[in-house]
Amino acid sequence: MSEPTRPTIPAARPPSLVSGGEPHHASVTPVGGVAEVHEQQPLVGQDLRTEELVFNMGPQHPATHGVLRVVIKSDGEFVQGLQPHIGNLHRCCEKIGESVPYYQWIPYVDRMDYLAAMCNEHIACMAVEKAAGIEVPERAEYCRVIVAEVQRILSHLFAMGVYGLDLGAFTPFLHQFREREKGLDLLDHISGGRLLYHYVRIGGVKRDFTQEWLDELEAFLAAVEQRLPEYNTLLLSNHIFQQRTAGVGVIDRSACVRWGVTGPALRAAGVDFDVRRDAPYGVYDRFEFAVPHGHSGIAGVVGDCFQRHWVRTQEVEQSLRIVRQALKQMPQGPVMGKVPKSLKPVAGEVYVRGENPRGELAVYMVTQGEDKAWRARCRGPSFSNIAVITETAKGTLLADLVAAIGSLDIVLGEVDR
Amino acid sequence: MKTYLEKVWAGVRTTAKGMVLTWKHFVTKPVTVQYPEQKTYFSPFERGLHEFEPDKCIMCHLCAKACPVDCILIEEEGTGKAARLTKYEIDYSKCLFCSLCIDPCPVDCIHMGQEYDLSAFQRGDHVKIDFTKGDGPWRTKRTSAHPEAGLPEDAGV
Amino acid sequence: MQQWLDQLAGSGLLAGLPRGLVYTMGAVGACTLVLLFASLLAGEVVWLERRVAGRMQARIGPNRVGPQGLLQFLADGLKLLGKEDVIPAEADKPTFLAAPVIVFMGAFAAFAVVPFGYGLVPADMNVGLFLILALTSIEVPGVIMAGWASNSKWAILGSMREVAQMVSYEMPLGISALVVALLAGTLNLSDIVAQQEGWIWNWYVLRGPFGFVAFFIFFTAALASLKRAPFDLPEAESELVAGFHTEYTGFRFAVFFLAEYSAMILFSMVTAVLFLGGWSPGFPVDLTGPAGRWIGFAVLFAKTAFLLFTMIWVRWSLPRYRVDKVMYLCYKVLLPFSVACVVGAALQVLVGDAVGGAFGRWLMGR
Repeated sequence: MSEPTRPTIPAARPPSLVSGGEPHHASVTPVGGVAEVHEQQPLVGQDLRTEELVFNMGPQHPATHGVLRVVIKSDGEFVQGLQPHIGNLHRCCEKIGESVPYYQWIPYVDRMDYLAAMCNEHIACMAVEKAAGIEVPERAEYCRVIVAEVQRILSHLFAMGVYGLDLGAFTPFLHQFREREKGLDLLDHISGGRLLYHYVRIGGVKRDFTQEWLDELEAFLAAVEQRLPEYNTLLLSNHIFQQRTAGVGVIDRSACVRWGVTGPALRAAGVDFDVRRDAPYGVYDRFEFAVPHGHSGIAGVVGDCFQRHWVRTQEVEQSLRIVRQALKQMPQGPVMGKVPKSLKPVAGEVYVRGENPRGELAVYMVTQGEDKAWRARCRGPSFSNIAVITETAKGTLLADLVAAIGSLDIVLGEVDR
Repeated sequence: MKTYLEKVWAGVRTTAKGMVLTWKHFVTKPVTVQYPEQKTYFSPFERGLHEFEPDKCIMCHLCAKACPVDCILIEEEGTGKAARLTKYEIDYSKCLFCSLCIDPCPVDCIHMGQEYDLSAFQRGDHVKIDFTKGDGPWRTKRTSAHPEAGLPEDAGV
Repeated sequence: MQQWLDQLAGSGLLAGLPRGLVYTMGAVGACTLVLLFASLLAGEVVWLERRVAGRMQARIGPNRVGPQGLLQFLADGLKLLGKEDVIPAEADKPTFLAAPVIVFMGAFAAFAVVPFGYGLVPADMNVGLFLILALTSIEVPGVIMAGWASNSKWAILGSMREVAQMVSYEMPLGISALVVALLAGTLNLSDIVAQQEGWIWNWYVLRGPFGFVAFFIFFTAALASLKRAPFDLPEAESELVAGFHTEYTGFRFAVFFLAEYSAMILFSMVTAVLFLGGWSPGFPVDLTGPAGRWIGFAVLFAKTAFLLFTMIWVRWSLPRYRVDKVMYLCYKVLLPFSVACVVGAALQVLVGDAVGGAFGRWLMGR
């Protein structure tokens, strides 16, 4: 037999995903043409032998929302199985929580879900305050709610724009940056940073709102309200978008419960659950807002990509409502509570959870009477949200896989910490 | 047949709506701020590069202790009243720009300013900046708004 | 063109040379001119796309290189030329090297039969329309070769999708062009334009409902054939990085890029010639004189620019279709509608013939 001269496509490294573990190459034989001279594959008269293709949607990929590597076993266009490989963005956030004092750990917590940094700070500070028994003044709680909801708006705008980008609609991605720039500048003017704020501190917030800032906030809210229908024109109402997302990537209620999926993905599956309403923290019990969840009255199937996107657009409107109510109800007063100079909470453990834009972020903290935590475990919602696709993405098309991953809205900073 | 025609019409209609929206954007002025001819506005609370006043420093090392990544290096000569600051270096490859070094300073000699540009032509330049040497893009006097200039006292600037 | 070549052969300087040589030189000169024009225009269409896309996205496009950024394509070209020419080790070298050339050839060769003005057509052929459809199909094997020879899974997936799409959309493209051929009674592009002279209602897009619908079908099928959004799966950046031309770097990528934009210009010109009256401006004026034909060229250019703008506008407004929906659109929407248009156009011609008179001739398309 002569040496093969046709190109072959070698199989990817992990043999566990190749069925049967046979050490042969996965070659795509041309239809009716001359097959590659291979000792296991006689030429003419044999049925066309197709094999599964194992390939890598690698860490560097425009659609994986960060450094996520997905190894996909597919039969041409259909996905047979997939395995996400995470850990490329691991920065030892939890270990650092054990090595530095509490107040020095808060800037690190910012960097977990970097698209909604103040929400992470909020939960982490709540954990420390609960452990140490620190009381947060009321005005500070309202400040925290306002910035958390502004973060929710910004994060959802970003998620909607990036989802459009995944599906090939390049324009909403840049339109949402216009509102997001306003919001980022707004938060920059009060905290000093555009993406990583270090504004919510243990015991309250760093500084009070100025009247100038409150005017800017009103302008931002008005701008978002005005532009929201435009995003819907380009995405939600668009026929092509509906074809791409309706009935695609369905994650039903039981899968959500088994895999611990939370946030808009859970609500789109029809589960009416929101930590802000059902287990309220801070002053969330004082606001009136709706919790949008997927149902059969809108396009698509309950739990599909379309309904996840729809839930996010509705949540933006509800966040606008909450901010306006908070601005009306906010009392005067200090914004920082009494925090001892060297913070040494008594030995114990606390578990605090909150509703991040991506789901339920929780912090489990074990304290030992020192100025640093003994264990600072963070439960990132994107970790469970990305895990569910290993079950639900079987049998879908490759293009639908991208739509499904995009609609889950993961941030690798939260998955890997 | 009817649903088929409805779907075709829905496709055409929503396409036209989307295109009308992009046309409206096409004829509207863009929002781009053309750097470097135009620059954005920063508030006094902006956490840019540090501004350090070496004359005021009392070498208490509180800022170095407060830093989460230990990026501040302070060296002094002599002890007690005769102590002199010889080196105050911030390693910007480590700095988080978290401003935890600003709060504990008892003499208010370190601030965060509105400069952010650390670009250089050589690879090692502008990474470790020694404020006692006095040259470079950073300032050794305060330029951001003074607390007396209309901000509340606990502004924490 | 033949006239011009004869003039050239007879003129003073070249009278001594053998005719064949003069003809060859003339032909080569004309081809080079068209090639340069098309390349320059392709570079400027890149600029137009980026500026228009920018304005639609509430930002400015490139405006630094040259006045208003018009020389951006030179900067891009220089950058691409300076890159390392990487050929994958396992790639099938001859196929890998030949693929960009074939795609480029398919996109440029068809410019030979496009009438730029009265008499300004490099090759005035009686099967001009058919030739254009045939020459643009040469891109298809080029794409298969590019994907296969790259020896990369992503490239192969991209080229398979692309081939299915391009080949399928040739059908509505051809059938809607057939509507024009029916109405015009000829495949000669110069004659098709000549029959659209006069007032604006002579344009085939306005001659009855079938021409109108056929225009949109032709344009959509052209978009799909060009792999432009919303049919740009083969280049779907978010999914397959760059589809069939993932493994091409530097100048070879520039050739693919150039071929795509030249094909865009070609299809816009062909659409303008077939449906929008070519070089006639929509009111009766004599553009056959030596100066007039260049004015006609400017009119054609304006129509082409408008169609190019529309292609860019559509790209930046819509998300991408999934591969099965692309096929659905072709076979179950565009094909039935285009066949209905052909039948309707044939009936229209018969009715026009029966009615007679000026209106009858208008219906018949003459």
